[in-house]
Amino acid sequence: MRIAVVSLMLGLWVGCGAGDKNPIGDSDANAPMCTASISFLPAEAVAAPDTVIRAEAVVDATGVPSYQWFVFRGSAMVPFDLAATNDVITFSGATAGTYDVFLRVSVPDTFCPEAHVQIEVREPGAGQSPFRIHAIAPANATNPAVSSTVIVDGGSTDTLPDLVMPKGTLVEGNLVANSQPVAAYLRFMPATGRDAAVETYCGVAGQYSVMLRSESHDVLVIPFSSALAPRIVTWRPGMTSLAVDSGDSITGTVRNSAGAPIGGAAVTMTIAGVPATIGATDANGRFSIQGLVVAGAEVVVEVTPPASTGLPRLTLSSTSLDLTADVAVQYAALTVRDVATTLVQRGTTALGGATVSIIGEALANVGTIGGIAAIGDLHVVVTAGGNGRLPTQLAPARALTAVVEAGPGDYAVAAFDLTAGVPATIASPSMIASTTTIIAPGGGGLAGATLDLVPRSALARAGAPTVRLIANGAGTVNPRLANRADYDLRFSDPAGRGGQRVVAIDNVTSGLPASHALLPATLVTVKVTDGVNSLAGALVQFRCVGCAGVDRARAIAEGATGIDGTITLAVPRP
Amino acid sequence: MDIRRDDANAVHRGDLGVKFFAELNDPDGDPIRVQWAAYACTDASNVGDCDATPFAEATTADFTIDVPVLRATNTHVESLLIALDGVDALGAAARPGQQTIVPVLDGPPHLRISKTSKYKFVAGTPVELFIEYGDPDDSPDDVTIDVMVTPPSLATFTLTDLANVPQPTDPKLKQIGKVLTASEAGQWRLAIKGTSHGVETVVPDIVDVTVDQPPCLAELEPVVPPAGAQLPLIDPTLFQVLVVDDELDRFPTVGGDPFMQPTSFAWSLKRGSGARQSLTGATANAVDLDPATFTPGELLELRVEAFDRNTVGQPLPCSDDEPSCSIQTNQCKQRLTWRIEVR
Repeated sequence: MRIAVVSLMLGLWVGCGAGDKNPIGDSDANAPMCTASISFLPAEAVAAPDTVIRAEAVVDATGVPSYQWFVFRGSAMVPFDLAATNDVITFSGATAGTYDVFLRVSVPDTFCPEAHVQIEVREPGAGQSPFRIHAIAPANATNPAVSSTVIVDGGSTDTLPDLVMPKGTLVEGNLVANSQPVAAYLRFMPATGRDAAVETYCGVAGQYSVMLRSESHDVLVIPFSSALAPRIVTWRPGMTSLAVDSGDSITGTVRNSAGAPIGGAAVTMTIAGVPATIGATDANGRFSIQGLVVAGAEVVVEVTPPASTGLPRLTLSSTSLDLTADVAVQYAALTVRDVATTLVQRGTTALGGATVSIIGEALANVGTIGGIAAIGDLHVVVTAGGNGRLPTQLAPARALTAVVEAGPGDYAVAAFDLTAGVPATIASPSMIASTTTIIAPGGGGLAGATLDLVPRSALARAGAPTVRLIANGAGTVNPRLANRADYDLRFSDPAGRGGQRVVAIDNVTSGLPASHALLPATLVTVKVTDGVNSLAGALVQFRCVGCAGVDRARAIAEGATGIDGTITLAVPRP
Repeated sequence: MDIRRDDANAVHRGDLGVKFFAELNDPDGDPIRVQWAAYACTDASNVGDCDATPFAEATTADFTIDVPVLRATNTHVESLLIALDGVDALGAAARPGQQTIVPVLDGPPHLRISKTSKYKFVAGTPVELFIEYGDPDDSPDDVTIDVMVTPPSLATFTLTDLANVPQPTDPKLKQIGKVLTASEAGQWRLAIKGTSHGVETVVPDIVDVTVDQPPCLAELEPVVPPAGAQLPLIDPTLFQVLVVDDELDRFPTVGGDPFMQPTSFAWSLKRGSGARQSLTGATANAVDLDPATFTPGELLELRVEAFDRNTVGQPLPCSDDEPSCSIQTNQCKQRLTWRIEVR
């Protein structure tokens, strides 16, 4: 018997998951409870003429239950076959999409919440890709941000399960050290999704007020006082106070290769991901910082000497560094050279006033920290005089890189090898003018598409910012690229006519290809709710999974939900 | 005993709450019990031309009725016969019983107006006007709608028709749509007239058209520290403007909309006590800072300013020292500054 059931109760269904809501009302809420959920097979279905979805009621109740089933795909009802026992239905999965299956269970004298499950049926041949979905509620809402991993099915469209942003609870409390108020930065990281962290600050009164989800959070506390050790503490609902103290004193000495102390060196340390206070060496090369020593934890130490020394920053990451004893930072014997004779020029023209970042990365044999070999990196910034010559500045006699900013936004990258001596010149060619058209996957220029020029390597280290270009009516952009620089080119379309494409280019010496096509896209639709009502104006971002650093926070696609709480965004098709 | 009606307005088919009063006077001063009855008629002066059964009855001192559209014969009601009888406490009936004939006119059309704007009713953008209409005693097809609009400058103005207007599910109603693309800000006065069989209904309305306001920096990540605090920069961090509220130049931008443009951003960085440097070319909604680029303990100020098509290229009316700035001295900020400590 094939049934298509019409229900007058459609408007009351809220799809909160199996067995947790009664859309009709609580008139029988005092009756004994039952639990109801839906299991289904196959777990991953692919659309095909012979694909059959089987859904079964899983009910725990005292008494004989009766069942009422409803199946929808979008707003259309889906006919299904009902087993003789009424607790199992089957329906065709010939069409790809999201199927909403609802189950009403009636047991005499017992309250049974409605069950709901969403079943995805993928298009044949479609792949799957994970994305992180990051959502932020509108400014005046009380729903903390959420961040979770979703699987997008390939194909032209996909609908995700509703993204629920539960209302938060206003949490007020105090941060103290020895019963005294503490001013600090706080980052509350939910146990179920650390990316959805909530930040706040305590003032001198040590009070904080923040909207949180009702679950445990790890709280990164960074006091503004250098006498108190930053730490991660656990906050649980109901707690009204967090406490810090001075932690452990970590001491050491920074010396050059001759054993002479280096004063004015900045020392930072991160222990198990938690930064310690910042230290600076005194005239005797001594430093003392406050942190929490954790045996066996990964420790990252950075020692930044004064720029005038010409010495690189030392960096060490180790799980065997002994912080309970004095930490000895020892520079190796390094040849340093004064770059004052170097002329910065473009062609034969001296570039007076140019800013030059001298950069060295992954320099070996530069020193030890706690007896363990450290890696060196260098970043000093000097300004050429009016004659284009660099001022006095010491730098290690190593293969370095110079990033020249001849004028605002006018960059060039050049090798600056001091190994054998000081180069007489740094060539800083003009930026490379280029033209490229951003085209749709099926062809045609995309007016309004964007190209982000994201610097990498030395250019990024020199602080060059990301430049965004917006395509004209023909879909064309005219980027200027720094000679010899490395970039990530991120092509996107706010109108969703294609998926974001990222192209890495290294050591640029010529213009870009004439066109770049966006990737075929899957239009992904998701509805944002607070568990009951849809949330209009919520920001939704799709971010990458498995990426690190700032790329972790970059949006692949983003937009705001409409008045019905839904948003459709284009992501690269899996 | 007499029948009184205080409202001098004409009565129409479909009118609600038409009220009559009984004027009572017993020469003996006895209380009087009244009996009202209302009959739908074609010609109420001819009893045979009225429905045999009253459509409303009452025993109260005043009598309120809703005028029917059709008689029991399924023809239009053209008049009403209102009858009033009275009996005193001793059973004496009023002689004669009172009757009054009330002419019933054609019911006027009814109109309902709604207005929507995707752009917060900003001048130069379309406002959609929906006029839903019907008639209590005629088909909606018999109703003609005229929409007159008067701009603030009192110039002549014509609306355009809206295509693909959704129709109400009630077959007694219809809907038309008009588009008002206001050329100036201010109050635009509407007069919507519905006419059916010579009977008119006029409904006035006003559309408040505004000017495009400056954009508001609404959501940023990380959170901007309050005065006196600084954000510790521990790892490479993407500083991004997540949301800009604006009528036409919002972020995230709405792609494919002919009226929308993306917000313009300007970024600058101040290191310690040095001068603030514009980040030339940084026009996106985000800038990333790597602590390795700076010296631990160094204090930075990263500033973002937002501009729309009307304000781009114009300096904000605040000094460089001010971490935040608002063109209109309200909570809507066009400048915000992160104070950062490099760790």
